Amino acid sequence: MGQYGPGDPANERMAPRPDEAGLLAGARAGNHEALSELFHQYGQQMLDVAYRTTGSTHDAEDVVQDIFAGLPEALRGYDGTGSFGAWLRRLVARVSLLWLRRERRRSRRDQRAAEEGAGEVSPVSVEARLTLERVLKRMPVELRSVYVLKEVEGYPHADVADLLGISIAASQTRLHRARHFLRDRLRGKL
Amino acid sequence: MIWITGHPGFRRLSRFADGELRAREQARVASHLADCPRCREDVALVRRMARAARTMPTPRASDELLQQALARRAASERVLLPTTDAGAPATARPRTARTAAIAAMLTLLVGSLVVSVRMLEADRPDLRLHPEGPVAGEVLSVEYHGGALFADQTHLKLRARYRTATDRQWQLLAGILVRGDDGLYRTDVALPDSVVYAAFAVEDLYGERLDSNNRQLWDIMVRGDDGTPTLDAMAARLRDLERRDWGEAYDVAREMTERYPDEPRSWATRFSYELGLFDRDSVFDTHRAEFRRLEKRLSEDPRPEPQAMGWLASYALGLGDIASASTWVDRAGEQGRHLSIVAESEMMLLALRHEGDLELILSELEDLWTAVEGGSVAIANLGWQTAKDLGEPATMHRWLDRYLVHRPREDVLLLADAADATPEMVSFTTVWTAERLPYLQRRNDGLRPLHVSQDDHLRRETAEIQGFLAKVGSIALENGDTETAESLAMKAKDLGWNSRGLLELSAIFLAVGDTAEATRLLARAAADPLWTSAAEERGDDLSNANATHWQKMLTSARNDLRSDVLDAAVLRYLPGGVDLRSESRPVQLTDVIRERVTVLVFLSRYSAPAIDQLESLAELSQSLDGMGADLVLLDIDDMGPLARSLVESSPTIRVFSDFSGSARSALGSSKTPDIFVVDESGRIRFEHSEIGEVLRQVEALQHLRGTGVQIAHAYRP
Repeated sequence: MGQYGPGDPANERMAPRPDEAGLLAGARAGNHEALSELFHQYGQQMLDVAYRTTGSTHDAEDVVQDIFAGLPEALRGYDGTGSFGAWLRRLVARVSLLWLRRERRRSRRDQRAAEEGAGEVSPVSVEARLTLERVLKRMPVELRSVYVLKEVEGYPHADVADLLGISIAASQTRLHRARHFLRDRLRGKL
Repeated sequence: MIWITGHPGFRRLSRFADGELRAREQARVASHLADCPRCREDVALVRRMARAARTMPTPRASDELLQQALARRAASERVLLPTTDAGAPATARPRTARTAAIAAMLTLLVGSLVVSVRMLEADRPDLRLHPEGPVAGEVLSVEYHGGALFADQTHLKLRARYRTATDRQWQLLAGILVRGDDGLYRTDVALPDSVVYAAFAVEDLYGERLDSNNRQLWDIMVRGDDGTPTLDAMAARLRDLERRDWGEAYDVAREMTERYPDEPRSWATRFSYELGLFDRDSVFDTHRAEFRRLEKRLSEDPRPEPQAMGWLASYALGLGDIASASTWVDRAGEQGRHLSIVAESEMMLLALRHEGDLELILSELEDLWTAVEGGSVAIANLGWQTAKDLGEPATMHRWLDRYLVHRPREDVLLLADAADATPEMVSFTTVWTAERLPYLQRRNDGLRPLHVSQDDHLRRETAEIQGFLAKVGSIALENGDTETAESLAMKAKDLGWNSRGLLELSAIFLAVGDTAEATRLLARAAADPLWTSAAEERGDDLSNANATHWQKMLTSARNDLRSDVLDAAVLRYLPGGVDLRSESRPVQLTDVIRERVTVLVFLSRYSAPAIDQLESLAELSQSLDGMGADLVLLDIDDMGPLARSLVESSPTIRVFSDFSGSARSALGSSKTPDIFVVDESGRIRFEHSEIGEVLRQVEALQHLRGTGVQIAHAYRP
């Protein structure tokens, strides 16, 4: 693993809860109450990951919905040895990437799509974030996926490479190209 | 290592920010940063960008999302999720007998479930160009994933449209894509040195099936030394987009002013777009201020470029500042006269100065034409228009030939226009037509737009030529030249389905005494709902003479037209889960279709062509209403009062907001106006921007609905 180990804040965001084993057993059996509880615990974080990766509210919601529609079956592949939060986050990233590849040809979206989301307080101005979001949406998919996974989701290059099916060197190169792409468009605006 | 520019490159700085450099190099960059604010800012920007990306606002996860997922489960829908990583191709483990057996079991399992097809379907087609931003003359590696569309093809054609900095453009077969063992198609394309912009599409070897990326094409702009698109490349892209996506072209114009704020060309171009979009006074105020800034800057430049002076003159002309335009044209002087922008500004000035003196204008235009390098379409156009007004055939011929070098596609339109002008034009046009007829009738694949199949192109071309020949024939008839009229009508009658042309041809056959042919052609025109009343008005005598025969002819013509229209139909399902809004209330796109044939039109207030269509849409809504079909406008960016006034004048039009872009994305719409004709079951059958085509298509679908016949002509994935 790279700089983000199991105790890293990036993984803490989806940390397991004490009563999780029972919850997961219920979800595995397809129990709607258990699935609802998992949604309330992880839904927002899942949507965040999906949204940053796909760049679209609509796609992100479809990704999360698909995951909950298939989670009981998918949970049979989770043996409980690692953090459930990390497993789920990886699953969201993987499904989002598949979605993104499939949807790659779709037309560029209006900037207004970016304005749908609720704002949150941050040292970076709202205008700057919207500008960044607009530019990110224009970035070629292969660069954006690396940029989001590495810079935003905090995955090390080795994990990014695994998720995307590319080499570590390619992940590094794409990250630099992504930054170059952003720098050209954001210089003086951020 | 010595840094050539005296600074580490951005990639090195980016690697420094990640601590990826060797210790010695890391220290060296750190030492440089201590003294270099520019590079320090680059490193800081890398970090600021990441921070901003982490704090981007995200949508709220609503309970509705969960309820929908649970409802899908309750309906026995399951999704197979990818619970293992893809694995890099280079490091993928060989597939063992055991994993193959598991895969086979999984396949059986899948068969027993209702699986979400969306997650399992093959990737849609996609084309990648490398490098994405080439330098002039570079070789592009092209990789194409054909998806289901070309599953049976081992070779595909890569067609391209190239554009140069001097506004030359041509289309060609750029290469043959060959499918490799991995299923991807590849080829290399060497860009000519002069090309600054290229757009691509893929098709099968017969030009029947094609992938134009939802009519957006795939394109590249040539980059300069700094790695960003050159101004010439951006201008070429803008020109390419002008006709296929006006809104995107306007975006490019704005981007030009952001990237090249000190170039008069950027602002002159942006001005020409904004004139049609915003309040005229505010546009002029803003641009006059920009003009003054640029003029001051250029005045202070000891050696201003003639090109920049030419664009400043052009900007001044747009703003109505003739004095400034003259000043800058004079300053550009003889040394800049070979540049088209300088010559065209001079042309505008001379046309204003000598208005009415056609011979003097033509004489000065000859000088300009000789001076300008590579020709100028604007000068050729003014030369042609002036020569046409003068009515002297030799001069007209000369200017027409010059114009058509640049706009070969417009020949028939120009001549049809010219033939109407004066009696003297008739013989000129008929002679010209006779000379050019073999050329007009020849299939010219170089003129076929990248997004149009060979069949569709042929259909459009022949309809256009039919209209042209009919027009010239009509004029010949009006001038008593019956022989020429009949000869042209014979050539045109079965070429295509140009309803206006068919009306004119019918009149020619009637005049020469061939009543049977006149009735047949009139019935064909009347079969087109857009022309029914005009045809019936003109053909009262013919239709009343033998009502039974007329009805038979009309029925036969309608069947022919439906067949012609449905030949070009597509078959695509309207996607579910697409949210629109109506007066702040959410509505599903699929609910908008009320079991009626529905015409969906995307409109934007930032698209002049879309605004121009509003009046036609009001008329269209009345016709559709009479046919039992609906017109729905999808407003992508708040048309506001424009939409309201349209609805007030045409209450049957329904307007929905698609501000989030979800309908645009789901339908693959990339421009405005963009039209989707959907049948009563919610299947998309036609997609285009030709409002004049809509009624024919709706009529054909309504007829299908009545007969229960299904047409499964579906090449789109």
